[in-house]
Amino acid sequence: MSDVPLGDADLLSAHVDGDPDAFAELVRRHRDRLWAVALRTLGNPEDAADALQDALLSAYRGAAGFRGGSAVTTWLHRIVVNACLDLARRKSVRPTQPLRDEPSVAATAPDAIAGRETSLAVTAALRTLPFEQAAAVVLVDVEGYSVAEVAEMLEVPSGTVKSRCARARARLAEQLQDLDPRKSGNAAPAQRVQSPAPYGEEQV
Amino acid sequence: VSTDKPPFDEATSGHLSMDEIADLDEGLLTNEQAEAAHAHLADCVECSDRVSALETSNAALRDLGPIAMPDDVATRIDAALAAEADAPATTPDAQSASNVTVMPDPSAIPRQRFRMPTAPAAAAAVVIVLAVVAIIVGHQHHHHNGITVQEAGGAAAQPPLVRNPSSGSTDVTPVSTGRVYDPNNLATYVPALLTASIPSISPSATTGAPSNDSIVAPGSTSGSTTSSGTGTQSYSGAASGPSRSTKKHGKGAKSTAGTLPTLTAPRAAAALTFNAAVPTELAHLYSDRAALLQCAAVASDTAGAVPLAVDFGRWRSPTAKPSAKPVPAIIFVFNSVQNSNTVDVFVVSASCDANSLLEYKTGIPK
Repeated sequence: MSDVPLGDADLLSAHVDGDPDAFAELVRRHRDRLWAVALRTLGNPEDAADALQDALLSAYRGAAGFRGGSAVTTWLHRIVVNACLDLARRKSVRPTQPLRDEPSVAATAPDAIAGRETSLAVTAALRTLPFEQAAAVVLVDVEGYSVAEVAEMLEVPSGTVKSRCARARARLAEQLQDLDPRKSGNAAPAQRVQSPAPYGEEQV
Repeated sequence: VSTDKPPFDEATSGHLSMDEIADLDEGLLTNEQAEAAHAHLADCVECSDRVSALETSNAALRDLGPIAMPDDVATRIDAALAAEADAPATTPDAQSASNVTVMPDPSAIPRQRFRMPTAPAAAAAVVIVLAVVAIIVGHQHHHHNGITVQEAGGAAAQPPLVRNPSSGSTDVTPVSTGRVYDPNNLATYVPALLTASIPSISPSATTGAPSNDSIVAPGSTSGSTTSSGTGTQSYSGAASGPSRSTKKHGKGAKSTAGTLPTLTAPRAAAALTFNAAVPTELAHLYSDRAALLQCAAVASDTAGAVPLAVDFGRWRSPTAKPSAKPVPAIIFVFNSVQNSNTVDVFVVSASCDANSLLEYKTGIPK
C-alpha cells in the first residue's frame, strides 16, 4: 500500500479485488463506533459481540454488493444495525437483564445523578426502549450522525427517524426525571417492547 | 393534520406530555400546534419543568462518551475475519470446479453460539457430495431466467428498485433446501438462494431434473429409493425421504452451515440441496405456481409481486420452546424497495394468509 492513507471506499474496493488486508484495516478504523452502536442498542456485551461479528462477516462477504451510493460507514452501520435488530428480536421474549457491573435504572441511587452515574443511568434507560427507537437515538444523539444518514442506515424515511428520536428522548427524559429526588413517583422502567408489526411502518 | 385535532394534550390533561414536548423540540408539531404549545409553556411551571427535564436528559445522551471495543472482542472478530480470508477466494461461477470448497481448519474458527459444532469429517463429506450436486445442476444455470441475479463483481445488470416485478421475471422457480431458518441465520442463508444456480426442479419441469431426482411428492416415499446419482447417494437419500429424513436433512443443513463459517454465499450455495423433501403442509404451494405467487403477493402485501427466490424450508421461532420442532415455512426473497443491493425476506407459514407471516427482515445484503 502507498503511504497515503486510502479512503474507506478504496479499502473496500481493494478488498473486493483480493487485497487480504484491506477489510481488516477498514474494520480497525471503524470498530469502536460500530461496537458502541451494537453495545448501546443491545445493552449486553455478549450480544453486541455476536451481532457485530455476524455483521462484519456479512459485510466481508457482501462487499461486492456495495455500490457507492452512500458512504462506506453508512453501509457498515446498516449491516450492523440489522444484525443487532435480528438479535434483539430473537431475545425480545426475555426480560431485559441489567448490564453486568452496572446498576439498573431502578437501582441507581437517586442522589447520584451526576457525571458517570448519569451516563450509567442513560445507558440503562436506553435498554428499556424498543430497538428501533434505541437505534435511532443512539445513532443521532450519541454518535452524532445526521438524520439523513441515519435514515439511510435504518432504511426508513427521515421523518420516521425524527419521530423515533422524539419518542426515545421523551421516554428517557421520563425515566431520568423519575430518578430525580425532587420528583415524586419512582416508576419502574418499561420492558423493552416487541418490534412493531412488520407490515406497517410509522410514517411522518 | 386535521384542524379539529386538539393541538396537544392540553385539551384533556391540561398539560403537555413529554412526548409532545419532545415532538415540539424535534420540530414535529405543526405551526399551529407549536404556537399553542409555546403559549401554554409561557404560563405553566409544571410543563416548563418537563422541558428542563428533557433538555437535561438530551444533554446526558449527547454526553455519552466514546466506547472502545474491548480487546477480547477485537481479537475474536479479527480471528473470524482472518479465518474468512484464509478460505480460498472463489468466483460464484457455479460451473467452475472452484465450487469444491476447501475445508477450513475448524479449530481456527472461534466458537460462536450460532455455529453448531459437528464432526469435521462428516461435514467435509457432505460438502464434497453437495459440491458435486451443485456442479451437476449448474448445467441448467442458463435455462433459468431471472433468478440467478448477481455475478461476481456486480457485473450483472442492476435489478430494478421496485419490488414488482422485482425479479425481472413473471415467474420464479421455487427450491426446497429443507433448511431450518431462524431470525439469526436469515442474513447468512438468504444470499445463497440468490447466487446459486437453481436447477429447474419445479413440478412443472421435472423432466430435466438431475439423475438424483429426489423430488418427493407429498406423502410419497419413492424419493428414498430413486437416488442413483454418483456420489450423491448418501446425501440425497437422507434428504429425500418424507418425515424422518427431512429431519435428518435439516440437521445436516444446519451443521454444514455451522462448521463452515467461512463459506461465502456462492460457496454456501455449493453446500446446499435445492430439492429436499417438501414438508407435506406446504406441498400444495410447491405444486401450484399460481397459489405460490398469490402467497408471495399476500406475504409481501404487494399485488403481483414476483420474488427473486423462494425456498421451502422450516422456521424456528425465537419464541418457541427450544425443544419445539421448526414449523414448515416458505421463504420469499424480494429486492428491497429502496436499495437494490439488499433484499427483503418474508417467512410465511403454510396457511399463507394475512396472519401467517412468521418473520420479515429488510436490508439483507445480497
